[in-house]
Amino acid sequence: MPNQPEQTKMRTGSRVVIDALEQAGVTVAFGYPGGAIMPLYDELLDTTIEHVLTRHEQGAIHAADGFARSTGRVGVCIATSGPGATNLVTGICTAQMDSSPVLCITGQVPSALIGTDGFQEADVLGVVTSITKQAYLVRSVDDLPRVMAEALFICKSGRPGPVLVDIPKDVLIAKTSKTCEPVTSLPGYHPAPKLKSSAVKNAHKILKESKQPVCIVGGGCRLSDATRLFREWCDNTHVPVITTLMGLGSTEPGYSGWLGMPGMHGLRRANRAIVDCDVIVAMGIRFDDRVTGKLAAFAPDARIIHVDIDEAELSKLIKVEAPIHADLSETLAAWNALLDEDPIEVFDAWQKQAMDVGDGLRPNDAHDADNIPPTTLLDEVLELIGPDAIVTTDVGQHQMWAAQRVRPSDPKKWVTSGGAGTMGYGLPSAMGAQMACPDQRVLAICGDGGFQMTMAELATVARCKLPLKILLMDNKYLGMVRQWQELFFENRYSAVDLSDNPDFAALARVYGLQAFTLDHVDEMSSTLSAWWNCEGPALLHAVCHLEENVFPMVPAGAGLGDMVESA
Amino acid sequence: MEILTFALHLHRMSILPKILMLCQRLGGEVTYVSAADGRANIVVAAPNEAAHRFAPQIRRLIDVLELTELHAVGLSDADAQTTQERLRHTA
Repeated sequence: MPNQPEQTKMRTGSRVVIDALEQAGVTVAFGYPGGAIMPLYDELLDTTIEHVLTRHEQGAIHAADGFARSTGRVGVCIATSGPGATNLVTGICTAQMDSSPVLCITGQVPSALIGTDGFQEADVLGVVTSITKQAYLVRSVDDLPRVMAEALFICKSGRPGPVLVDIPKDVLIAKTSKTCEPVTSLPGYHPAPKLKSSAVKNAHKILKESKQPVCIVGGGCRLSDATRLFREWCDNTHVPVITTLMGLGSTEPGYSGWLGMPGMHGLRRANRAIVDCDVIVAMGIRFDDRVTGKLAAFAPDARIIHVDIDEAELSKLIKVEAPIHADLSETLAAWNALLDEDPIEVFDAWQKQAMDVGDGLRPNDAHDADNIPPTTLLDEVLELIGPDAIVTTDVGQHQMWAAQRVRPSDPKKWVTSGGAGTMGYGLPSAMGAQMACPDQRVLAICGDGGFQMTMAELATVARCKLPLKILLMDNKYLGMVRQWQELFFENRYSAVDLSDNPDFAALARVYGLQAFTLDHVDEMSSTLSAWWNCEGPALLHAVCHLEENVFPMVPAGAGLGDMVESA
Repeated sequence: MEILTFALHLHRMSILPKILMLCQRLGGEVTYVSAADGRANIVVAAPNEAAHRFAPQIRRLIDVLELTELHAVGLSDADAQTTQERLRHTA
């Protein structure tokens, strides 16, 4: 029988979803099946898309997020209705806060049961509305081709973000002849604002008038694929550069004016430069409270230039003198061209002055040799793995210690939950990154608290034979909370004790991973080498000092000039 | 508090709850809503320090086609200056 013409070919809702994903170049989806989403899982058997079965929906969405951040492509996760969908919520919020392009496809109970408190029914649209860039409940299969095309477009365009498509089971089964070409515009949606050359000229003029400028670059550099242009801008200006938690890796690893991370656990020289500078060039940042500290004390003498694709970020928290509402890549291309035409006097002297302030990092407190000093460990690990490995983290002390030290060669090689601060992110996001980049080395740095939130994903790692390495820094506390209780709650430790942690190495072996234990300083080099160089997935359980603190630290509510460098 | 009045053109009316939730999240109290056929008028009592965040954050929502912020005539000089200042920074 001859093929039917495309416009009259009937497809099920499930096939529409798969076709849309394939057409968009999706090769991997992470998910967990259940009743309402079964028609889609049946269709997944007949597709080129590789499905990774995680052990919890949270693992699936964090993996999709890690996939997205390490590639810049859309990460896809799938879950069923009710609890399946609500288990995605933390991951959706994580993606939203860090502008990660994650597409969530959830099954919903059959249309007739919606609103009847049916089995595994939840108002998913209502739950996720405020934490998604856009969310859909598809009521008719005829709408599905358009909705999928819109969802994929919205997810990735402009300032990226998570999009959820909730599909009732009967819609997945029903057939339609409708098709939809990829969407490239939507009414009222302006993802690519037009760059005004006058705005760039104004910024250039302010920079020329400056004596002590500082650039703060954030996650927008990665999202805009602006790394090469940004590095060119740095070479043209020699402006000292501060990279936020989300912007780490934006500078060349050897850039002489890299001041490090700013803010609550920022480096001394970064925070000092913000206090002392006369101009801030903010690129793709959102002036998070962890970056600014007390707003009134933030860069008190500085004129602010702010480039962002999202107009709502301009002057949201800090009054901006020169807003540039545009894509960062486009802006940098124009600014670099202007710098060629009208060069500025580079800021070498100021750069040296800013660098000479020092990083404020201190050696670990003296302890016995039977436990591992965490920052020494991280120094050695980061030296061992080099700048080209992809590093993911959980959230807490280990994340801040790593952020103070890591020098990735590209911002896509640093995957961490910034805005949401989601514990349990490290392991599943590493899975996503490893699936996305099978030829690259991937390291997940986890704390003992966060690791136990998603450690069931060790089964996924083992099944998929993902050769990622896990560094588990175990200090038997919820360390960051304990640190705050020590410093701000008079040592009254409340609900932070993890002294009965399991033997994590034994646990990893049960799941089929290789595992190493490091509990003595003298064995550090040899154990690290054996762990990092072994074949396949492997976990290193590092038994760390119990009560090490992260310094420097700017107490909550204080200005960046009020850094504390020791207890 | 600053009284903000928005006239909205919406692609889909289903976006309206998201707008109202956003107003609440930004610290505003919605005091009036009327909506029909893709048009909505909303009045919000907004904290002074957050008033400048409402229009741009509503405008960026998908399905908000157009947002016009309306201003009562006859503002005192001081109020007019505040409003102009805010508009300049959110334009």
